[in-house]
Amino acid sequence: MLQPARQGTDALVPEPCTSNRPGRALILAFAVALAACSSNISVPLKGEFPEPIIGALPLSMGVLYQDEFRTFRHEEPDSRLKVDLGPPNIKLFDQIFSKMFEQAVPVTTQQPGPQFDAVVEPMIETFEYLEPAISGSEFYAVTIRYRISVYDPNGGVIASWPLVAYGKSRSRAMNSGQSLGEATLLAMRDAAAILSTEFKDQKQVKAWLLARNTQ
Amino acid sequence: MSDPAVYSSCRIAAVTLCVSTLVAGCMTSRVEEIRQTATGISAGDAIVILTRRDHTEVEPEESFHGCIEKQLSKGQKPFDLRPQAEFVDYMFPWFEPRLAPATPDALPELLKQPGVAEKITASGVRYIVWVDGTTEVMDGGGSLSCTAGPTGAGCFGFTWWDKDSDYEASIWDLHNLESAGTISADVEGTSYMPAIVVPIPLIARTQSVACKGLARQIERFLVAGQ
Repeated sequence: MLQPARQGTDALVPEPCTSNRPGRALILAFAVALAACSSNISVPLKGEFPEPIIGALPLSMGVLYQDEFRTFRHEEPDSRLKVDLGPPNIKLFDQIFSKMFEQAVPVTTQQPGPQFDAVVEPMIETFEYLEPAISGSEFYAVTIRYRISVYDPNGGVIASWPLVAYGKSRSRAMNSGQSLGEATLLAMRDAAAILSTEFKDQKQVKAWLLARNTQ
Repeated sequence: MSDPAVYSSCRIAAVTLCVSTLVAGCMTSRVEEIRQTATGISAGDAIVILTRRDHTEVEPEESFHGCIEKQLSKGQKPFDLRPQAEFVDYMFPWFEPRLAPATPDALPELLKQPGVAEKITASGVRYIVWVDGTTEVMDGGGSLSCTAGPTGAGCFGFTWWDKDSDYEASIWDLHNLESAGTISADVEGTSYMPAIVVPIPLIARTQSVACKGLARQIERFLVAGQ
């Protein structure tokens, strides 16, 4: 596309001397840097989650992830950072549920049948983060508000409660994506910590477990 | 007349002393120890240095934690240190910021959780050293400006700032499930930056001094025993 225009101007403009090449390279590098600045950056959410040391409840649970959860993505309108929360959250919750319950089997509906004691469904309601430039601190702070719902095998709600998880990571020069990613992973670990240790103490779940004589 | 070579070397030594004093900046350092129980390290006893990562705006810098670990893992009889990240993962979720025991009184309850006592025994960790605190710039002043032009660049002015590195290490004994003691290090220092064409930073490395002071005292505390 650019070549014909250049050919057209070659007749009028003297051949550039070789000393202009570094200047061109600089302009090119600047343009590339500008392009990189204007494109979106996917926040890295990589890493393994450790296995929790918890006692498994003697329950056969269905685990339900809705499509909104599987594909949850956060994008701020005025920021080029985007956070894909779905896949790492599924990895985390799969690991947590497999340790929390004697049996945890993926299901696609809230009424999977009588072979299950109940169905547990995590959802992400909101994802928020605070940048150091706004908070005035040295940290990126992330808050993820989950909702955990437990259904009986017929789809009736046994319990549903919000779980607010928090993570923070020190800001790194020229690497806001990495700091935000670390803060997000810490918030997810926080969620796993709360859920795995407080699930059976959640008021409605506790009453349900007592009624089943399962503690 | 004195020997010129001796005079010259004395002058070099004096200049070196002045420069090193200036470069070190002006600092005051205070390390205090409160012992609650006797301590001691046996073969096979490991320690882990953990930083308090609660959800406040203040937490020890990674560099400070790394410095303490480095100081304690060298020397004539280095400690058997467990890396923080490895230990926190190994004990997941019980040492996450929200669940980590805040006081030694919470240890018996923690060890009642299924699998926790067994994991701690298997890790060999005898002492947990909780490090808390931070380094802050407290005050500062002066002005310094730099300009650049076709013929060159240069700076002129003078700035200074005060830093306070205030850290505390709480040592918990996992055998006796109690606090063994607390060590604190408080280092204040003033850094200067005069500039006549070239800025000359004379930095008071308060964090580094606090780290070395705290690490040295932790080592003595654990080894001395009484």
